[in-house]
Amino acid sequence: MDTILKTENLCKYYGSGQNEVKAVQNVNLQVENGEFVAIVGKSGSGKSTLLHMLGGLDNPTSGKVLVKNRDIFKLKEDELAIFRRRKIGFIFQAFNLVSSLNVWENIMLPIGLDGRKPDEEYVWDIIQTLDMQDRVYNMPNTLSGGQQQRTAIARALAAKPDIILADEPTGNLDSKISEEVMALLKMSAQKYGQTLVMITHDEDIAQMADRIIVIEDGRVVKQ
Amino acid sequence: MKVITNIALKNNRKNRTRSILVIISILLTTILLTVISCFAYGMIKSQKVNAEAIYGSWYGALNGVTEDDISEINKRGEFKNIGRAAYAAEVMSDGNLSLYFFDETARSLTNTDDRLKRGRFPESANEIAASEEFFAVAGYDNVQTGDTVILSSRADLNSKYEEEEFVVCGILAETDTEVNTDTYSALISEEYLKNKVSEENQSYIAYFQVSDSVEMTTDSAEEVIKELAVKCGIPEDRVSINNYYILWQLDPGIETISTCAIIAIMVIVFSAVVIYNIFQIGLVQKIREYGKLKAIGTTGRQLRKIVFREGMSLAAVGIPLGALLGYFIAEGTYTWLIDQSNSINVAQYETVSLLNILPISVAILLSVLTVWLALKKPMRIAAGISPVEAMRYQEDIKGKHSVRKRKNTGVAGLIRAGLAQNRKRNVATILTMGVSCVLFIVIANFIGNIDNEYDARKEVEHGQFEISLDYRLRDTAYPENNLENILLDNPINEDVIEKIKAIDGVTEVKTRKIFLVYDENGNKQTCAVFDREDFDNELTQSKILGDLDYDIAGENGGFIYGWANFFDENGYSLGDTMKIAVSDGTQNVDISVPVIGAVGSIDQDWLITEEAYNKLGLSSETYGYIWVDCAEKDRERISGEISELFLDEEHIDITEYSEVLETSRLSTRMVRLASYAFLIIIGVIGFMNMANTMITSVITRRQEYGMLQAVGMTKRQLNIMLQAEGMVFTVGTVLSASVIGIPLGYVLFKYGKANGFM
Repeated sequence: MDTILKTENLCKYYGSGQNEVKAVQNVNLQVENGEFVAIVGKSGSGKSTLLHMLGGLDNPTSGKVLVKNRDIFKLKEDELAIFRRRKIGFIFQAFNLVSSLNVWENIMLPIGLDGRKPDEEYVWDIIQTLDMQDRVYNMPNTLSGGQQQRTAIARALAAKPDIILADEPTGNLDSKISEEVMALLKMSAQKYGQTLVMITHDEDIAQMADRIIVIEDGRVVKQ
Repeated sequence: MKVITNIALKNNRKNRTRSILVIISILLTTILLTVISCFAYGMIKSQKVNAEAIYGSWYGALNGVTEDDISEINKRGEFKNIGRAAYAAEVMSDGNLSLYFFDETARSLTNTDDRLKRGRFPESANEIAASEEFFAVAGYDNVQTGDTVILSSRADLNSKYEEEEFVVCGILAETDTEVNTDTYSALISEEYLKNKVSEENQSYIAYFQVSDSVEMTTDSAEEVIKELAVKCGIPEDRVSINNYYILWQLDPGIETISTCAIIAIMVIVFSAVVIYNIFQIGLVQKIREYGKLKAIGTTGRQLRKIVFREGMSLAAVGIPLGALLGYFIAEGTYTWLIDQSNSINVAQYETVSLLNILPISVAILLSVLTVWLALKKPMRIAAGISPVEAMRYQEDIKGKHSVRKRKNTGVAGLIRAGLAQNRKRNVATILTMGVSCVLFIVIANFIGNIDNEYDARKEVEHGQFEISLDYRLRDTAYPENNLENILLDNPINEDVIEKIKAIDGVTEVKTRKIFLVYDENGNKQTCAVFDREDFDNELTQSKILGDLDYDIAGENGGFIYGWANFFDENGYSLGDTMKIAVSDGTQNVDISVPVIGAVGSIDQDWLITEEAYNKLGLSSETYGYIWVDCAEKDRERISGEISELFLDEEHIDITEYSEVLETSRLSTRMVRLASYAFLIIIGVIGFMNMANTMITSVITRRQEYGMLQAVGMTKRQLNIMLQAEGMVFTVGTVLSASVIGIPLGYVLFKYGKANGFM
């Protein structure tokens, strides 16, 4: 399998001197194409910071993030934004839908921002897979938490990204819905051949992954 | 209690940006309200103080009364302080000079005492007191008290001029009216008056005040005074009323107060909306926090108090500062405005101090009221929060639309969706901004519509110069001043016109003829001959009677009366035929002509068309007016050459358009200044409103922007989105403002014009 995502000595420090906080220290990891990786760690262990850097949302203090062997931090700011909407799909804990757009529009947002013609058939397929076909014109505030997160998943999948980065996607959901959403997420990632990197502190959910990376105090302690 | 205050203060400290925005808004509001109330106070106080100085302290004057009338009035208890004044003679000069007698009481009532710069008022027959300008027009420069001057004067049109020697006993200041009308008068003694005017011809103007025992109000004053006059046997039409003095003497300044109240209400409404917006949007961010407070047991009442105290603690900073600044701004501007006014008016206003607890307290109270109004809704929302709802609060939680059938994508779709979601709030913002723009446009329009050129063109109808005949109709002592005799050797003739046309730089010369009309009783009147351009122009500008048309008027030779307002009063009616004699000085022609209409006001009694004039068979050289046009750069030189042409002509008046225009501009300067000041006020409020809307819109949607960037929105796209939203607001504001503002401004101007305050 090809390596799709790789980090080299990735570090992120906040503050300086005595107040210096080493959120991420010398992280070296590799993710293969189509793999489902769970990053596990306690609260404050640096897993969210790591994920943000993997997706180019946050700049590292030092080190590299290579996506398909390309250093993403060598890109200019706007190039990075374009890279994100084409190559990366984000799923956040707080569903992060645009409140003024309906479900369909939220799902199409990254494609629309890219000025691409949407592959409607493909998107409809995702919507049906996620069982959202009856809610496509609903506004976010009329959806349940699970439905909102499924919309976010659909949005992440719709642009056919290489990697999906999920930051505690089930953090705001109860356990039954969590399992349902996770099952859908895993199933659709497999179905559409996408790589999935997910942060969680829930051992049960982590067990669904192909591989678990444990992070403690900003360091990878187990790959 | 302490806990609540503490939370409120801490909240303010934490939301520093919001706190500063609110303080600035409150500060500005208080400044504006203080300025307005101090101005209202100053205007009223100043009018009370200055009414007497400007208008004199007489209530009314009876014109054309005899000594007997005056002694009759003296007997009545309703009148007090009766002063006598009388016209004594006209002085021969290039200008308009006359001699008047004022007794001591009349001098005091009309502020003539204050005009004395040096010396004293005349007592013996050969003494005179006048302004330096009077003497200058009479041919004496640098006159000092004790100097002797020789003046030729006559009491009426039936007397000959007589030379008399006067000793200058006093020098007076010129009055406003004198300067504006270019007519100056000198004061002489009672002795001189008695010598000059025979007793049977002597008529006086009696200035008087009304005793305190007479009950009257501003509205009834005129009626009461006229009734009193009639009781003394003096007809109503010979009574003049000193309206302005009476107004300020009897009225507490209701008009000023109500005008200021309207402006203040507008300021309060706008400011309340601005402050409310800031609080409301801040509240959306903090709703979770309030929810938590409620969850741990804070009551709704306590939450109301927290929001109230947050607002009032900011007001406690903004209001005193605003009141202080406002007072100083008002005092400074007011003094400046009075200085400006004093520099262009002869009547000098006394400056008054605006420092008074009343207007400032009113302003402070109004500011507190504004903040309270702004806090009302946020207080209610904070109190009504349910903790559960607060945890998942989104501003549009009550959004009507649960389903929207659209498939917008991309930036354009985002913009459309964003605007549609907050439609109500967006429309409200656009309308508030629109309304302040409307006010801005209305006032700007108002200022723009003050047309000095238009006013000046009423005096000098065409070109840069007006050369007109200076004639009389019934001068028996000097018949050479009468029109028929001037026309015999008209100083405005073909020869002169050719000379003017030949002056280098003259671009256009236009003339108008005038001639004499004798009515059936042989009374002399004048008639002007209008060409098509002037005729049509007159029709658009003034009140007209009859269905007037240049061609028809030319064909039927109809006469049009020049004083439409007196048409019926003077016994004319449309369609009448009148038997008249027309004259160009040399020959009189008897004819019957139809009266076909009347126009607003022209300088002559009648007007006819050029075609009609040609049919009368009169001389072709009865020119009464020449208008000369030239380029601006040649104006001064040509002015000199024209004056040269008419150097020795007594019967010529030369008026320069530029001078008339300048006078008109000076007289509207105060209105302009005040309007500009108000424009700035509205501009500041409008700007605050807009800045606030933009800042808060960005602040509240920070999270959304972050997420949009996370899913791949570029900086450029974000900019486009924000700019497009701004454009919608701008275009909406401009549209709503121009659609309402321009017509409203025009209506206001029309109203002002109709009511004579412009």
